[in-house]
Amino acid sequence: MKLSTRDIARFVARGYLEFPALTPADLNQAFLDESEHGVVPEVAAGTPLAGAYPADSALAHLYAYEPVRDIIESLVGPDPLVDHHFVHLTLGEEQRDALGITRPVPSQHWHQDSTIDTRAGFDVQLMWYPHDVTREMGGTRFLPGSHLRIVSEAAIGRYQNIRGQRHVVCPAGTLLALHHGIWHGGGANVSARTRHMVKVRLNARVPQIRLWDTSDLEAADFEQRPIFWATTPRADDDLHAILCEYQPWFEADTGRLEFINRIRLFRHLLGDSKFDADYWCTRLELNAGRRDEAASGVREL
Amino acid sequence: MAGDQDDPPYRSGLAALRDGWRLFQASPLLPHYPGTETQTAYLKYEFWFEQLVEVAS
Repeated sequence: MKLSTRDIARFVARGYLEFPALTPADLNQAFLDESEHGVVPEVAAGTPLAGAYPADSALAHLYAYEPVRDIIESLVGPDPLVDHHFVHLTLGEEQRDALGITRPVPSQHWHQDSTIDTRAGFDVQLMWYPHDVTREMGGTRFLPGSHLRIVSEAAIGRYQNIRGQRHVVCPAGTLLALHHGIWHGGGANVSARTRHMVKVRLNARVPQIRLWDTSDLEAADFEQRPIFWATTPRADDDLHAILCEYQPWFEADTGRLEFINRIRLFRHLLGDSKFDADYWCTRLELNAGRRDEAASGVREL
Repeated sequence: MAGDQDDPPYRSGLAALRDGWRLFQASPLLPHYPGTETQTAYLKYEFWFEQLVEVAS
């Protein structure tokens, strides 16, 4: 089942979608066996996903698994390119002892993957956790809603803890689908067991316009409602409310800019340059034209 | 008070620090470049807290 418009709006607002215990136990175990035996395949960057992996490999089975395929296709369309994948291992105490490592590896600094990226669309990054992850195992730390900030990779590494940050604590088979820009870092594993996480980055090969199940999109989603002086509570699935969801780390002024940037991304995905949520963009587009340009025009007259 | 002292109280900022002053700089509020006014990037308001602690010599 493909994602809904509400799912896509949540992805646009938060920069991720979480699917707990999505993949079956035999698939999870198959990957762990491959990882243990060092036979996780390599794939050249830019290879179309279909046929990129040996048919009998766990990762090929992961992409063929219908719920995973539907998530991928809803976000980046059919047969995207494999940018890369990486198996993240965070050693637990048992394996550290075996290797003579006396301390847990410190948690990873905050970073945004790749480098400064100004594209209108996005790559999706799948994070797959094939076994249970406890808090002690240092599951990925990430900052909901940070994905539209254009920063340069590890330049954000001096931030330590940010209000609203999340740590992945999840059952086996959990999949996260993330916008490529989300701020994240691996946690320190202070448990006995080694933590596995597979990250896969996929690039769209088709315009990322209405790739999901749009059957829940209604005329009311395109209408404006009272704002600020608004006493009627919004429903949880109200599209505008989803897109204008507040994050605890927002600065008093720039949080509003996050709303604007989310709306612009949603417009891009919707293929509709007029869509707005809570009037944030429309207001700025009325009587369009720049003040400085208008001023120079007056002088010419 | 504005205009009541023609000479600076210290010859340099370092001299003021040596005399016991402490220096703080607030996050600068920068103008927004045309065309990128709504782009967000690094956290805008950044301050560091410092706590001075006595230690045994």
